[in-house]
Amino acid sequence: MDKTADIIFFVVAITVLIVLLTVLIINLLLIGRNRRLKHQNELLQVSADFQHELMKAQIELVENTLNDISKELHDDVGQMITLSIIQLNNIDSNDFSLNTKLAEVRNSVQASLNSVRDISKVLSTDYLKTFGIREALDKMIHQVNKATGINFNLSFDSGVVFKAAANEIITFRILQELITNTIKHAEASTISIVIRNENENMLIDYKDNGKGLTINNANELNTKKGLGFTNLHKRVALMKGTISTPDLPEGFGIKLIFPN
Amino acid sequence: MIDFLLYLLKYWVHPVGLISSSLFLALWPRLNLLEIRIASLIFFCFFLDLIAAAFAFKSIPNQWLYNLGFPIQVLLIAFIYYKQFSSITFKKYIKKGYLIFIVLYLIDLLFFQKMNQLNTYVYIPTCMLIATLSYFYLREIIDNQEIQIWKDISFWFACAMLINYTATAPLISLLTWPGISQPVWNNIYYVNNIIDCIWFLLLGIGLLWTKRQTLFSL
Repeated sequence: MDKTADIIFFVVAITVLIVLLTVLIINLLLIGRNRRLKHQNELLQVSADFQHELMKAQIELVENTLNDISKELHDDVGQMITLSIIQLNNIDSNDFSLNTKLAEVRNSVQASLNSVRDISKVLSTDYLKTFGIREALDKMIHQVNKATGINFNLSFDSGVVFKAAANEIITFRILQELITNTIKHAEASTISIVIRNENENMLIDYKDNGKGLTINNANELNTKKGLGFTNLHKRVALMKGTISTPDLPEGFGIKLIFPN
Repeated sequence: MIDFLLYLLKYWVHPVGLISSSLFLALWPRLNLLEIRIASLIFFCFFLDLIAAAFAFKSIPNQWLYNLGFPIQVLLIAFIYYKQFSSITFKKYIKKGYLIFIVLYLIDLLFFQKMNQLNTYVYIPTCMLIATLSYFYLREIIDNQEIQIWKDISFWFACAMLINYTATAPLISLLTWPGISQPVWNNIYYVNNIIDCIWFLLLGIGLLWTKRQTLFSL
């Protein structure tokens, strides 16, 4: 009887041991997998950080270039045009017809100077930094309305404050890009822009009443190509935000949400 | 009839097998191809055990039933692994391995252990081969970082097969040990039943876990 009990104990012990060993092997395989996944995630994070820094550098480079062009326009071209106006003013003639022509030239040159100053302000971030996005947007809207006749509905919540100055510049550039697209492609008569805070996020809702997206445009948008959307996606990614294009009965709309 | 049901309850494998089989049957319309194949294996093993238990209850020898059922069981397992392995080398091994198994099994059945005795000579190496195959399959699943293993029935299947066939091989070899007494035989058989229960349980839990989102949405 003792021998029987010994055999049974031995069999049970061996079986339990085998089962435990098998479970241990499965466990070791799972631990190995988890380690690999963790390592892979770390690599992905490093790569994402690198991409983020790269995008940041690219956008900073673009902003610096735009600022330089703006300064050159304002200080150099603007200066030369001002000088031309002074020189035109100094021309003294008794010829009535020449004076009339000179006045026309003066007006044209003055208009050019105004345009150069406006372009310079749009390109530069100094204006934006000094007066804020609300003022800069109002100015841009005024210019676009004057040049194209497009009407704007701007809803800017009074409580909206950009905590990061960089995000304010990026948002302005995004809106510039979207307005340019509407002018170029949409044949719209009205653009509506809503900027508001939603919880801890900033929400920007942009809509126009143009012809909307064709299938080709939509495909380009989805593949992030063309229409300036590559830059747009880059800028939104830089703010760690999301971008969506809701289906609208007419026109084109885009919704941006990013942490403020 | 009640006596027979009580007899079945004595060995846990039948109620546990019934629960697992019922789960697969209940979720049949929502099963994917692999789950259907696993379900076929579960149904086969459950009914084989059930019929064998009926014979045992009537004190009729049932070894011949297991002898007939085992090649079919191996065929089902080989088919599942053949379809699941992505490596062509493993597919080739499975095909050739099954042919060798059948030949050896027939030789054992015709010339050595015969029909009235459990054919263990081929059973034990086959169990070891299935366990090895399960290990490599498990590694293949674990190395695939695109799948969520806990939500994939193939992971549960590989684990269940690995545990079952590594633990069963020595037990079955002891069952045919010459001169083994009846009490020892009964106890070894009982332990073997527990291993089978674990197999059914792991597959049942695996199915529930992989289908839990579907179940909650019911």
